[in-house]
Amino acid sequence: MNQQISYDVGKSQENRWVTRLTGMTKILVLLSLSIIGMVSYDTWYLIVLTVFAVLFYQSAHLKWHQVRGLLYAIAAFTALNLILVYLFNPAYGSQVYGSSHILIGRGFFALTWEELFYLLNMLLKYVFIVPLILAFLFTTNPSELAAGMSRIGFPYKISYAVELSLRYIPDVIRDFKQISLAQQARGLEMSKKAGLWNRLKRSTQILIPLVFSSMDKIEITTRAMKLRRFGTKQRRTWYMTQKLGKIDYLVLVSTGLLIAVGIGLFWVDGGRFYNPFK
Amino acid sequence: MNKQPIIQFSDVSFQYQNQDAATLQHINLAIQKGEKVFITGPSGSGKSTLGNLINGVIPEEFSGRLTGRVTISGQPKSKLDLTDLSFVVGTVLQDPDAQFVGLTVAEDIAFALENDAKPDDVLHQKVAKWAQRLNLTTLLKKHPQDLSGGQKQRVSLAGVLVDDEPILLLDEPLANLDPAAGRDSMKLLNWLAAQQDLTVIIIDHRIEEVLQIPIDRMIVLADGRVVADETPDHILKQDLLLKHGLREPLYVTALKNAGVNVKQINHLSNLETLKLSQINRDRLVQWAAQQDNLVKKSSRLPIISLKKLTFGYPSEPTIFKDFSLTINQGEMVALVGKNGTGKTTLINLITGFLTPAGGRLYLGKNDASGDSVKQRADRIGYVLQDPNQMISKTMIYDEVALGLELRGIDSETTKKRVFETLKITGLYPYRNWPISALSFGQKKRVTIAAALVLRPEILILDEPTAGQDLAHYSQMMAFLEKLNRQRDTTVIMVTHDMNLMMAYADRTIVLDQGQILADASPAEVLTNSAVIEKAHLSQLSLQVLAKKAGLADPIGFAEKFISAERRHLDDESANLV
Amino acid sequence: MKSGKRTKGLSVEAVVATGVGIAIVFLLKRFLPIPTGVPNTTIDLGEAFIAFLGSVFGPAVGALVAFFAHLFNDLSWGDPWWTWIVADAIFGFFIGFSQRFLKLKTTPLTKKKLFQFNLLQVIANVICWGIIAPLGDILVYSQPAGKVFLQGITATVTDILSVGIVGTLLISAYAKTQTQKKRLTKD
Repeated sequence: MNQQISYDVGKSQENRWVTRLTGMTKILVLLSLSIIGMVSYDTWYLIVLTVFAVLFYQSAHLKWHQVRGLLYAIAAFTALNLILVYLFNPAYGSQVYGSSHILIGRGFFALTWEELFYLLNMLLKYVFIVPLILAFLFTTNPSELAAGMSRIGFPYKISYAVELSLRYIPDVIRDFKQISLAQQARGLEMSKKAGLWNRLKRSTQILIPLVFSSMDKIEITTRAMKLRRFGTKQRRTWYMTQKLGKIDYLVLVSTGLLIAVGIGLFWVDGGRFYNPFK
Repeated sequence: MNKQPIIQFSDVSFQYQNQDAATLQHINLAIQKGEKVFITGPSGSGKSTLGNLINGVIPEEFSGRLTGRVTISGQPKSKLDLTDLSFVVGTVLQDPDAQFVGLTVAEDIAFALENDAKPDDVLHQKVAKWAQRLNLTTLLKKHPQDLSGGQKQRVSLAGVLVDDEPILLLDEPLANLDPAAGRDSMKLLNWLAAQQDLTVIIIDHRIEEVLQIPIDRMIVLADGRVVADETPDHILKQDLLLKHGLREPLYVTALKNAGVNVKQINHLSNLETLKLSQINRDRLVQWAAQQDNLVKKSSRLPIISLKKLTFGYPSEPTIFKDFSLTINQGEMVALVGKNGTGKTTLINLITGFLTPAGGRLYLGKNDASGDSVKQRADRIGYVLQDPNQMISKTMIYDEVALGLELRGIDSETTKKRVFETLKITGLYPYRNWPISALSFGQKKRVTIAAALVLRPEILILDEPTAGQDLAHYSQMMAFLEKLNRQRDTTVIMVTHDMNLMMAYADRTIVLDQGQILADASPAEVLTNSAVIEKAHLSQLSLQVLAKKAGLADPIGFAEKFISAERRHLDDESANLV
Repeated sequence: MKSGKRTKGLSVEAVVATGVGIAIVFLLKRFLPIPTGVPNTTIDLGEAFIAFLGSVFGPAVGALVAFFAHLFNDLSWGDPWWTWIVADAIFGFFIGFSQRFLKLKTTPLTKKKLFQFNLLQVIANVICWGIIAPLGDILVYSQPAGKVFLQGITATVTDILSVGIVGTLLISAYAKTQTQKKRLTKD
């Protein structure tokens, strides 16, 4: 947990259009794009989505050192998955596209154009939304999220639970560090060489104080919130509710059009797949 | 009719469902509109229960049997639930972190209004108004973890006052604040009460600190009964507070000890305007002359030496630069300074929780710079402020034995050493209890026992007496002192409590932004007004009193008084342990 | 004498438990995966904490904590994988039913109840990670069955271990703090 969790939008991002988007817009864009991208296997469409996502990334002007670690992790994760997909069923692409054009090799591991194309689609599905999410991670004021969730129809109690979770993340990190160090002082060995059983045992020793202090925290916070009438009305308003700006409408309309196109493509392609081998 | 009390209790008793005796018994009291009332009492006296009855937490969260009649704002309480009451009584809880539920200051102030589904413009307008009134305007976008204790408390106040309730109820408003922040907070409260025509109810056991502002009435509870309901002046003139295990303002005890007839003193509760006659001044001077001078411990061998330590958190400015400090064996050291000034960081560097960028640490003669947390823990016991963060077992015996077990000590030796430690800490009779059945102070003692069982040469405690009343406080300190004297254990205490520092520390280290601002006897620190101001400390009321008496050496007077008082308290708590 | 102004949906306590729970589970998932020795396979302590919270606060809190903590974790890596997020929420929901028979706040914890809890967690893990998550990957993401079932079975095994060992210990520890009806005496 060495990574610092910062809640402040960076200086260089302050005046970007992606920063000015309201929380509600960001949630809607993220949800709708990631769901349509999950379902669609139309290669051209996924490429368009990727380009759309890159626009947000461009606007955020992120520094390489901010995203380097994450990009490496995503690359490793994606590569591992693609390799697994291939190893388990190298002929899967042929099954999907209903034809088989061998590129190289023979037998079980023969690499077909279909498989390669299928893997390209998988790759796109894994990465198309990454630029958008990176942009949002660094340009979103967390205070806007709960208000945004509530505005698009989440019950306010669930929205507030999310707000509270963001409120408590830094506290939990602090508590966790304290507890972990206090247990080390008691003699808990934290070496990386320990076996699985010992690792589980020692994490329990840290989690138990965390459970006790969290249960106390839940009790007191519940009281504090009741004393200020949380949950007494059917609806709730939000200080952080923002007016939608021109840029919000522009982004929402573009996203809406993209989604409509994505759905339309199911008919055009006669299913979720775009098949260039037909 | 126009003098109807805003809060009235008539023959009220309350018994929690799971307890076999009533916590409050036959309470009668009336609070008038616009009064500032201070409810106090030792732990377990029922003062929190009384507060919970006023704001409706009882019966919302705790069920039990309530008899008698409670009227709030002219309405019988039985007709009002927690929500109705929240429009009449604004409650500020003890823990400002738990009260802070918003992600930012602005959202937290708006919280109650949001819950009432007030329109946007009302939210913004009211937040702006209260932020300005409580001087929070520049902090509106800050997160709770960026604020000091005093700032958080101002946010809590704004967050309840947005409702314009006529009554403000504060549960231990002075916990977690450094002395200067506590004083500011009380002054703010006084100003608000006048400004908003509030009825203010303060529940706390820190009597001297609360009485920094004019209080109309003090209600003292003991064992669930009202034992006094009078003006502070009246109460201070009697021996009632000490009798019930509460600490009276030290200057009042000093006057009484010196044989001053306090009954004849006007405005006894207000030290600033208190006037001493010539006879009384002479009495104080005489008393001081009769007392022995404090015997100072001579310094001995160094036990902790920090040499040119450098440290800063990643991506933040360096806190400690070439920082050097030596602590000697057998010293009792108070580490003081305002919140967030590096005290905890320094302790974490000593215990090995943090690794310095440069410099060395010696424990005794050995270079311990490379030792792990666990190795250092054999020599340094560290007790956190919150015992809940340390306890990982459910039974007392297991908790204390854990450190030995993790070090592979055989069970026979473990048992012997655990029993021995439990006896020293006074926990032996409870050894088979679950920890959850213990009070906060007892839990704290369990965590101390768990550190002591490793026989450390150094014990570091973060706010050892936080949240404890006078009786428990004296027990805890007498115990630490005994360890220090009999076993020559070096004790380092991080504290905001000036009286504790004065009474028990041989040496005070004042830290300010990673620098040692002062390193001297507590008395010298408390006579240095520049240090007091810069490090958010406060003078003792004893010093003020001594000046009024015309004593040449006010701090000497304070020292003498405190050592005399301590001998007295030690004798008493020796019987208790 | 309960307050008359209840609104539908979660209780205030459930909201707070969900908030604190999401924060803790997210951090456990994000920063403290425990390596098992098998490459790329870690034990997720977050699942043990989800099981604990579910057993104390019920299915709704279990499901919401699992859903949002998993979503936050995925977002922090830049990539939400919806089928697994939903499977996690279903797991939180199922394990929350243990609240009904464990009744930690009012009754003592018996060996029988712990056995029932573990039976439930094994079934819930098998259904969610062994069936729902891989089926979702096949149907929604069109991935080959062999690969997704391997991942699903791995997750089933590690989560059964996480909940079975760590979750059970957390529940036992918490239960001991809840019921002390018998009178305590000093001796």
